Amino acid sequence: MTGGHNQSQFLQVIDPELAHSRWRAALGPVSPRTEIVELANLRGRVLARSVAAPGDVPGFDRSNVDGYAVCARDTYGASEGQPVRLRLAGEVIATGVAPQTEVVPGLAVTIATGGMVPRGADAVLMLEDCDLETRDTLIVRRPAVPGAMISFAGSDITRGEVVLRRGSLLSSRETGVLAAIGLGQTLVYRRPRVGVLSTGDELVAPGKPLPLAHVHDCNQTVLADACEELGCEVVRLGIAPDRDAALANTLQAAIASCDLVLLSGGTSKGAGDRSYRAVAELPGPTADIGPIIVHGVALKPGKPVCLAATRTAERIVPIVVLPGFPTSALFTFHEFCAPLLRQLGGRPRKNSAQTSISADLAAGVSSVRGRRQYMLVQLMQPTSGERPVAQAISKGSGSISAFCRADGFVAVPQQQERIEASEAVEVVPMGAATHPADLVIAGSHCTGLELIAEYLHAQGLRIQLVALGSQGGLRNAASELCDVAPIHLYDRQTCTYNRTFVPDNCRLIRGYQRMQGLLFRRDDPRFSAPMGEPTGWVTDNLLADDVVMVNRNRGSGTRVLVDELLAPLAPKRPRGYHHEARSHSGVATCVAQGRADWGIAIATVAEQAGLGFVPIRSESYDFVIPQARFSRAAVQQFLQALTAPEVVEGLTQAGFTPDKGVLS
Amino acid sequence: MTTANKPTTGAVLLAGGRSSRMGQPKAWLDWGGKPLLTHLVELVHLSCTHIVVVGAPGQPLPDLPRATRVDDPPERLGMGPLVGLHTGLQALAHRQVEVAFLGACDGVAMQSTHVEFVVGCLRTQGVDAVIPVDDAPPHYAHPLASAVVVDKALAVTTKLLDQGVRRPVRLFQQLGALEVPASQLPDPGVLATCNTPQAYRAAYLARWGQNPPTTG
Repeated sequence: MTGGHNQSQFLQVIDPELAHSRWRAALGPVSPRTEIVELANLRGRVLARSVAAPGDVPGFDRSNVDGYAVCARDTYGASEGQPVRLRLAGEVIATGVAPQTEVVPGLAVTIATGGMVPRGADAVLMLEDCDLETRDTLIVRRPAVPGAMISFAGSDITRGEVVLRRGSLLSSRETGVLAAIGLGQTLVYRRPRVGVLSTGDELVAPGKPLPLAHVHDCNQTVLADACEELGCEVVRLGIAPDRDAALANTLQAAIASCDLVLLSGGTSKGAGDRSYRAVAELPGPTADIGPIIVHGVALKPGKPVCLAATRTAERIVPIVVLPGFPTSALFTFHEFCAPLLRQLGGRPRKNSAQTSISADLAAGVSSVRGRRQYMLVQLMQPTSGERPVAQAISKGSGSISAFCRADGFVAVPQQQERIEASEAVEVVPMGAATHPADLVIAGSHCTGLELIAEYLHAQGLRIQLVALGSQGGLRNAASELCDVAPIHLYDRQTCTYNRTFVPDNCRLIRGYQRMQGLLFRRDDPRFSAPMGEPTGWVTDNLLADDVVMVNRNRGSGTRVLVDELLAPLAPKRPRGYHHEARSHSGVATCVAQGRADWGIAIATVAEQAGLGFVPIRSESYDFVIPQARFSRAAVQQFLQALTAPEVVEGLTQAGFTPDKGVLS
Repeated sequence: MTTANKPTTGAVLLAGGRSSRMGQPKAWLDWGGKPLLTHLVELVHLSCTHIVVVGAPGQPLPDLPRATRVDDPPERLGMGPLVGLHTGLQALAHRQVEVAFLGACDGVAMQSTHVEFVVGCLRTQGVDAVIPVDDAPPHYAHPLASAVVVDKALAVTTKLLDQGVRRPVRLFQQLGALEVPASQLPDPGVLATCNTPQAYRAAYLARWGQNPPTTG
């Protein structure tokens, strides 16, 4: 990273539509290229011309059953009581052979399913409706109408009929049709070739061990796969080397061979700069215009996106520097790159209005005026009414899990500062998830809960887990915004867990007991010495300068416990008190990596992280369920899961003590 | 870097048509409380500094603080849009405007992003004209949603009018215009025009969510 460069090029932020216009103008009209591809490789490709059938399908009059080809008129009046007798010819018409016998009145010929109906015959009798009297006499017990049991030539596809139109995406259904009309190859659009390159000193390729302070490069995979989902051929260029010269070389090679080059900055300051500078060195689309067409777009997330274009000897090549955060990278990819790739690949424009889902917003959200904001949402079945409820996922643009968990997104217009609760929003679905989850669990997170969720998932339930902390869960349950809110909150006045916190419109279901305790590194002598009483370690020693704690986020049940334990030291607080991990395992990681010396979490994570553990208190992890949603089938399934032997066994093995779903 | 060498950009908006199918002057059609032409001038002004509105002599047009009004010469009245384009281009050339968007006063769906796009194409593709064409046969071209290099277009227009040519499409053929398929425009919907009361009502309803106010 070069220290001297600041982010001063940043940014002349413009509207997304304007950015689009300017960039696309610089690229000029895009004409997809075509190629001829063999049938075996056509799946997933897009037809570049409409295909007409060169011949009839079927190509001859075909028998649909095993039976006898006859003149229908010979069978008129036939019945069980008064069967008709026909002479049976010696020929048996198998599939794949041209029949020799001509059927004349009074004659029948044996024919197999798929066999070619012989000259003179206009109906086929089913084997079951006839009996052989002798080797050459057939007894017919039911009449047939002309055309019975015959598929006539061209009745499926007529010669000259357009079976598939230009622009059709070929799945197995379409390739089947192409095979049926006998096409061995056809003209399709060439797959756009996209080069994907990551930059960032902190990036490590997935599969390689992660040194401290590094992250695995997920953008490369996310972007490359998103391109492949759009039918592109992807060149994965890996993580750019540190040296600027090497970066420039990689970039040059990509430009020479690709239809689009995607760079994504790391999250470190300077990574995006380096990509930007490398691109800025390139020749622009014309002699008097630089390569950077747009740098900065009024989008949230995605503001720092850089849209560029460079000219090679024969064409203009688009280049996009996407932001480093995965969510930002993906949104800007879908905003600017996906439409271009669709055109390059001959695919139709995406019409989001056709696919969007109307939903009611669960809780009001604020937006940044002046930037179009993309808000990831999860959908939930409504308590009453028909429209699903959309719940915003509040995670930063650094979150990849938010993108994975979201059912779709809502685009909040630039001028809008706020959307109120229960206002109608249009959700653009993402991925395969087009319908709301069956069961929404929002509140405190626990590894035991994951066991229950895994069990329900195996039963076919679509589950959404939202980690909001105990108090967040309670709020959602009170507003009927979830089906189940797991909580663990201690009431010091009544010395009970959870009961006194349940909102009026909810019920409490007992979950399981789990052990909270103090986590420390086993080799840290300050904690591993015997401490007597479980809470005996809460002394002034904790206030020493060389002892650092990691706390939990406000709103979590564990934070309540921490504050209660530390109350005797008030108003003094241990070092690290304001450092808030968001989960039990976050606390464990922090201690294991030495950023803190102690924290409070459950026994299970201490064991997983190989940490020392001093038990403090067994606490109740219970489930609050809104009365209005109690009778839902998915909620009932959840309750049954709490008593299922597999779940009880699993929880016990993991160190929990199940209460088996007793109604509290 | 993004703004370096940006040429002076203008626009010609034709308003002198007779609006015979509409039955009332199109420039004055209500568009969310203001005349349609006023709306278009404001919109085009986001991307173009010099705007020339070409009308017919004596034709009442709304006050247009952001545009210059020029009238077709009386002797060429009723000779079609190429005359209007010539008049407008002349006025722009006079002001040393280098590139221009060409539009009409009934572009109910026009967007400033489209103006940016066609003018931008002109610059970056190194051509003298850019014109949208329909994707489907007969690939109808849309001269009044296009962009041209002013002096080149003016020269060709003058020549064509002298030859008695009236069809604007010929201008673009002679300029070797870059044809952009409608599907590749930032918004293909901008090519919608409105020639009849029905089309106007439909466009109004689509944009403003209600029927247009009834006029006398």
